[in-house]
Amino acid sequence: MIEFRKVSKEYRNGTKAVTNVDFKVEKGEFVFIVGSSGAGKSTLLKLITHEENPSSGELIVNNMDISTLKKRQIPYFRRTMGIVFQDFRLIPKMNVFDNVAFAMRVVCASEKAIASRVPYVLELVNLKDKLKYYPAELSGGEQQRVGLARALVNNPDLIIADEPTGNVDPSLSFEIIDLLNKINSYGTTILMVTHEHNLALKFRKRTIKIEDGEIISDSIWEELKNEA
Amino acid sequence: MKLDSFLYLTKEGLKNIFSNWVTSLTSITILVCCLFLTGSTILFSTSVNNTLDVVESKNNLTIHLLPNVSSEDAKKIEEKIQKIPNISHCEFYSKDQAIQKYSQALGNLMEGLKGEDNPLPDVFHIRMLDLSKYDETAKILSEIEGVESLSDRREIAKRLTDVNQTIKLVEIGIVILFAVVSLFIVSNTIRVTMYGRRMEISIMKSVGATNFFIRLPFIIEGILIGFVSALISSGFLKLLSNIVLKILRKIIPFTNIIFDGVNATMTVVFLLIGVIFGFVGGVISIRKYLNKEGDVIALQ
Ligand SMILES: Nc1ncnc2c1ncn2[C@@H]1O[C@H](COP(=O)(O)OP(=O)(O)OP(=O)(O)O)[C@@H](O)[C@H]1O
Ligand SMILES: [Mg+2]
Repeated sequence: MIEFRKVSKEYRNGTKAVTNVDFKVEKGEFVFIVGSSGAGKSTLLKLITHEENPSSGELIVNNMDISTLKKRQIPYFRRTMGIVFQDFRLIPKMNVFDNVAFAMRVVCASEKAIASRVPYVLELVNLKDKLKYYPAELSGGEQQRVGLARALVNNPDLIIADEPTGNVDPSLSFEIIDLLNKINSYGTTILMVTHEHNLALKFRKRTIKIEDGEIISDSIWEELKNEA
Repeated sequence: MKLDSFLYLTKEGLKNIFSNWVTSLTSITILVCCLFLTGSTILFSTSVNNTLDVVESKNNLTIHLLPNVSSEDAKKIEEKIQKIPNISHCEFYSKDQAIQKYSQALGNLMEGLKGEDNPLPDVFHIRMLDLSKYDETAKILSEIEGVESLSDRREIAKRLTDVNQTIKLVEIGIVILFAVVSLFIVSNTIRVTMYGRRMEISIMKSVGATNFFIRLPFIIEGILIGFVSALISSGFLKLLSNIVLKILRKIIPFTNIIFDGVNATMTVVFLLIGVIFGFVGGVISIRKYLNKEGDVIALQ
């Protein structure tokens, strides 16, 4: 699904955000990426979404070498993934239904398809009775569930979430991850960045820890090491 | 594109205009001013141009006949003139026609001068094929019986042509200047809208909307702004030209000034220009924005 081969990223201002990163995520996995602030977590995700290009190394996403991607292919490439933002990024003047439908409308889905798909994903995130609510009328947890529904609505193979629980009450973080877990159980690959290491621990998922742009531990490999 | 998407995009374009109506209004106002000034310049220079075309005697000569020449004699003179090889065009313009034209402009002031009392001469308007043979031809013409005088306007014509060229240059300068200003205004307005909608754009990019799709509402916004501005400014131009026409008729009826005012072609051209400018302005501003691949996760 995703494979980093000795990928480094140096920003134009000279900041080395990611150095020699090497890892592989298989289809259907649920992976946490943890690390302190400035460690390079968001940069990793930006490389996957093709928002930034690697300075060196190879990056394979969906069996495609990202560097071969042409500019006009990027939108279609992004349709294979759903992105969840820390700041929810809901449009204030649209209600819950329209916020989710927005993601379908802008990829030219028909209103008929929208009318059947949107209620389905909103039910999946337990929000089917709040279709007409506006973002300001929802709790942080609920807003993030709308964000999750929007990421899911175009049926992506991969969900990328950059600190989706960062702006959510800690007691509700659990519920968001639980939801991601449920989505993962239907076969969607999940890549989630978080500060909260103990959350990751609680869910017993593969956890990649990075510091100063380098991977310092990857729980699967550590388990393998322990077994050996 | 599917109908649903088309409806959606058009709605979005309209929403853009109303969502930051202060900016839209400001830019429409500035655009109206630009278009209005450009239009006035064009009107002015066209009217000077047309006037010159009439006055223009580059190859135009007027032959004044003696007052006692009868219309039969005039016919004979015309035949003689036609026989001269260097004459390409010869047109009789009677003093009755002349007085008729002036009295249209001046009303009953001219009443007493009609008929027998008409002080104007009968004339021929003549054009030559080859101006280098001007002197010989003029000599032949002046020797025809019944011809009182020739009026040579070559000198005036030359000077007016110079003026004409200067005005043309100034016109081109002004049009270019306002074109640049207008493009800047439109693209800036759209940039403001785009800034206001940067979250929406980042979401669109994150879910894989094509650049074309992201662009369209903004381009529609630009086109609408251009169209509305063109509509308003051609209305103003029409008003202005009507006023100018009225004043001109009052104060200088004798001159050959031709002022057409705004016509349908000009309005259509204006609207077209407005739409094109809106379109180009939109494209310019969005290119800059979308060329950055980023703004999916980065936007905070
Ligand atoms: N666009 C950019 N241009 C230059 N430097 C950048 C850019 N984005 C990030 N950086 C730098 O790269 C490094 C890694 O940043 P990144 O955003 O990936 O960290 P992070 O792990 O996501 O941190 P946080 O937990 O605070 O979100 C930091 O030193 C940051 O200052
Ligand atoms: Mg980050």
